[in-house]
Amino acid sequence: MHRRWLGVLLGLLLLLTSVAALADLTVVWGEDRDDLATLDPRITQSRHELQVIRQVFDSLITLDDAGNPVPWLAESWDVAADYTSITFHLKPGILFHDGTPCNADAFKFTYDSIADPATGSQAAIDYLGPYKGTVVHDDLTFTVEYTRPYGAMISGFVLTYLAPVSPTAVQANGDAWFAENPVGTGPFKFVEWVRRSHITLVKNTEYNWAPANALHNGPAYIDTLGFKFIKENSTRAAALETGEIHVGDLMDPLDVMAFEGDDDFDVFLGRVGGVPVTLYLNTSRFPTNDRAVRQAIFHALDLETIVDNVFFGYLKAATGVLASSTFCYWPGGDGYYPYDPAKAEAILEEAGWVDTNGNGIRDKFGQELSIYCPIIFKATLMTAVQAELRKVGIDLNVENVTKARQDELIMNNEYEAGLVRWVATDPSVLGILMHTDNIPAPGYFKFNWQHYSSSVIDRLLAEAESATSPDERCSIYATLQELVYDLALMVPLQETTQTVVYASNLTGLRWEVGNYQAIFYDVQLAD
Amino acid sequence: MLQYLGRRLVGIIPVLLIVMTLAFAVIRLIPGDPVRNIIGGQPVSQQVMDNLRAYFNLDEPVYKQYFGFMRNAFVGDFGISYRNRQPVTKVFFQQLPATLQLAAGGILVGILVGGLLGIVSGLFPDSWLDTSFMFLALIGVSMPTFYSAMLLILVFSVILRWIPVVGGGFMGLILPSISSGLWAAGNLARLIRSAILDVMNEDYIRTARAKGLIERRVVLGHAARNASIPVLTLMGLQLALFFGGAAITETVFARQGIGKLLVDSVLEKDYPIVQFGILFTTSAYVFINLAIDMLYAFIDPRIRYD
Amino acid sequence: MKRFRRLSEETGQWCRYVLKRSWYWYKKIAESPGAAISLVLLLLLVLMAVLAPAISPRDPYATYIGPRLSAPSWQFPFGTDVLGRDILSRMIYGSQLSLVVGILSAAFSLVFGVILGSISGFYGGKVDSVLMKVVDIWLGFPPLIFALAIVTILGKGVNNVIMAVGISGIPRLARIVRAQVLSVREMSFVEASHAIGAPSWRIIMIHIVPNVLSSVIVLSTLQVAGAIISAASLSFLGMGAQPPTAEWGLMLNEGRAYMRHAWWMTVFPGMALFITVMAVNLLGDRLRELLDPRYRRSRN
Repeated sequence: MHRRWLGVLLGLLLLLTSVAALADLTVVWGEDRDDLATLDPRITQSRHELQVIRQVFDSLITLDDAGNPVPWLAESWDVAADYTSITFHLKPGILFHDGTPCNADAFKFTYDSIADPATGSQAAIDYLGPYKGTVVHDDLTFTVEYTRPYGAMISGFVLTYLAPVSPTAVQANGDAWFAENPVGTGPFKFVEWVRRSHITLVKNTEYNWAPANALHNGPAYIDTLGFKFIKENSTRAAALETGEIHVGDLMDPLDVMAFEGDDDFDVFLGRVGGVPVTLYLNTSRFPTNDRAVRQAIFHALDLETIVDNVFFGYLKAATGVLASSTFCYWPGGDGYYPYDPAKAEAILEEAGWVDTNGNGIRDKFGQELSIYCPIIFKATLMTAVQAELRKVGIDLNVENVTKARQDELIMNNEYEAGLVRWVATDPSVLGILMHTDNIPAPGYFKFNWQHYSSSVIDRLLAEAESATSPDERCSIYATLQELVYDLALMVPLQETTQTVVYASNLTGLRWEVGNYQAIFYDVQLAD
Repeated sequence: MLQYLGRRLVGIIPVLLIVMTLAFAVIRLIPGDPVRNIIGGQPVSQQVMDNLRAYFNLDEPVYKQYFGFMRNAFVGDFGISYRNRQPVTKVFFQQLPATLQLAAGGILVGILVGGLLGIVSGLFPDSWLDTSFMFLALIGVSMPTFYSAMLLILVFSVILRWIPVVGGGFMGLILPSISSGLWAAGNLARLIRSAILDVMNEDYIRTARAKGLIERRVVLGHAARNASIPVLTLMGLQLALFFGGAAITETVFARQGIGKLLVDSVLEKDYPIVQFGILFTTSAYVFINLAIDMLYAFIDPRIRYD
Repeated sequence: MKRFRRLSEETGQWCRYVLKRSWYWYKKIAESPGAAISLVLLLLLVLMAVLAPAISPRDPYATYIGPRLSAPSWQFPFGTDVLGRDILSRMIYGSQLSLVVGILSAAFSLVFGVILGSISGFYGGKVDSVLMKVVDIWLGFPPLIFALAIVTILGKGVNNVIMAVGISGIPRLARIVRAQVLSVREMSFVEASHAIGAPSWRIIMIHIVPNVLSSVIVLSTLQVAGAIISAASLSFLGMGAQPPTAEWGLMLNEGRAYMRHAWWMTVFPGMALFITVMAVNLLGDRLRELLDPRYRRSRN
């Protein structure tokens, strides 16, 4: 009797825990976030979501390793001389996963819906630029028009954000359905998404419109592509070792070090473009409204040593408002405020910050030099920064908060500092963080977290956007970057680095230029 | 018996009504405009805000909202998750299988380990076995879950590499089950031991033992009856806790489950999920208690409900 | 002067009395070797917390006083963490928060649990059934998530953590106190007081409280153990103590990422937490043996 019950119990347990049979050739990507919200390229702003979306959707253009645009869904394109429109000529015969044709109308539908505020686009709408409308000439030809000259248009069309979505699927089922049942033209088709657990894609056997720089054309080599959400760094490393996943994203530097010495694994480090991990300082609140305080923070931090220590030499200290791999990076930031704690103290003394009550923290007008700094990532780095600032009498009050809490504090202007980073290939990202229109307010979540309003900066941003030659754009952005350094609005800390470890029997893994997202289309798995 | 069951079920109705009212109040008591919480600061037009307000019935007077909420709840509609824009019940029940697996595993570990330690200790009181087993039980009740979880990973996955850390399937369930079953095992061992000791101290057993008439099996039989009620109570409590999710175990072992969903929903202010979480865990608790009370009567004929 | 002498005499007498009683209880508790060890451990722990600045070998907040992630050595007996801080010193300082939060939040649950339980048990009837329904619902909600929700709404900080952990511990205590009160209420001397028309509060204070006191002492000891774990769990989930605070749960959380490379970052702070909880539990068990009448009976 007892034994039978035990048997039943064990059987039940086995049944509950049995996994679905795996397909023949499966590659699994270990993802460090488990809270993906949407797989709709028009809506997402998360690189974690984009990592999946990139496999399901195709772009019009892509960049080769040298950063030059090459054809993908578009065979060719013509940019108008005044930068107010661009005309695309599509490859014939492209199909969405639902069998409907991917034609000029599909692109018009996609861009119109991105521009519609009701869709709730979080990033695509920014990359679409000053969008006026799309004119369809015939099935394979269309023109995207802008309200004013838009020099950065190509850098938008190479991003997955502006990939075409199946109008039939969206119209039949609605945006909410599409967000979790994406239908694109890409080399992998969406199968299932079990929230917080995994996402499964299978290869698109119809696929034969690979980008010009891909290693092959036709369907992908692997049959199934899985994404498994494993938040813990150490768990992800262990899962790689046991072969439960083949590629691990955002690995801890210490693990990277261990895997580097292991023949079974390869390591990939991608210096990501955009805005590095940066300590922004709120200029609308005491005490960071004092430029002396902001400059002292620069001088007090030996960033090279801090970053080297915390990340074991795998990550680099940031040397500019833009990451060094970004187009139009201004190298003058390196050494603009050299590490010099004595100077930091001198600047503070001169500005009237003295420790009058002997608690180790400077004060002025009876108020402590205490900077409230809510963060949602990089806790260890910030603990190190905090310890360094304390040495010159600045109290950086770091609190680890949730994203929801951070957003609330930002909208209500209840913080003095925090961390920001932005992955991008184009310097136009600076506008998102610097423009006066982007100062957050209650109910208005935008990214000028420094709360710094300047007509000079706004003008420079506008000029850069409509500049027509790359040299002209870069010289405007250089002026802007120097100005930001001079005002000490933000302290760039560490360059974002994609630290990926993958099984060495996996070949053909390629990386998106700029944001270093993995492309699985050419991947093969040796025995 | 049936009558008692009926009475108890009727008694549960007001409890559930209170819970639902509480759950309803949660969203209204949180400071800030619920619609603002929903869109999380995305710049949207007044039209979108009004649409959302109408969609979540927030444009009606509170009493109407309340009855609407109750009416929807009775047909199983608990609204839409703020974060995923998916039905709350769908988001929630996607996490249920993982939670049930862990609950089954944890309770199995509790019963097997706790039972073994308790019975051996009870039958050989004050022996070295008893002392060491009771020390193990003490460890079980004193070990914080996150510590035992991390030690298990350290030993079995990192050092010995016997058991994968994440793997789905049976192997992946072993360590989390042990870690989350330790507390129940320790408690159970202590309960069973003292139940056996109580029986051994009863006069008729002492006499019988003195005459050499008694077998261990008989002692165990009596002890089983004596121990069954506290053991059932404990297991019921443990099961109810599991339905609330083993947030810490799930976090450390990177598992899915209700606990982690609730923790994340609280932190990310996904109130509809929290609302349903309150309802689900408290109802689970109430119904498990009822089931345990009914089981008492089956196990111990002396307990009669009339 | 005379008055002062009398006062000091009285104080002396009182001190002697307290010492004598303490010694008596110490001896009673220490009759069990396990409990004796636990008392020594707890004494050491309290000393560690009080004398932390004097006995900790290094500044717990100073970074890079040693090489980062160095394994235990003579210089750093428990190793260093990723920022080169001394783990032993951080552990010693960590005892302060754990003890304070554990004891205060247990006291919080105790006060409200006793109030709620006695009211419910003493008045019975409608009051009882309503209060117990509330307590039942309260019990049904997972305590950790409940505490987490309170901290999310009130904000972080030691006071709020104490309150959050305290509140989530109330219902369990209320239930047990109620059961005790119910059984005491049936006793004849309470019924007699009722009959001669003594006011309710007097009956509660004079007859009921002392009679349920022993189980309350046992419960509160065990509650301290639970509260220490709950507070550490909150820190472990990132919602309790904040970096760079030296707190055991937070240290475990920080060490988690380095578990595969630096076991000492997690094993030692966890050990401190575990031993503390175990010592408190051992003391609670012993107190139950000595104080709980039901328990005594079954042991004769």
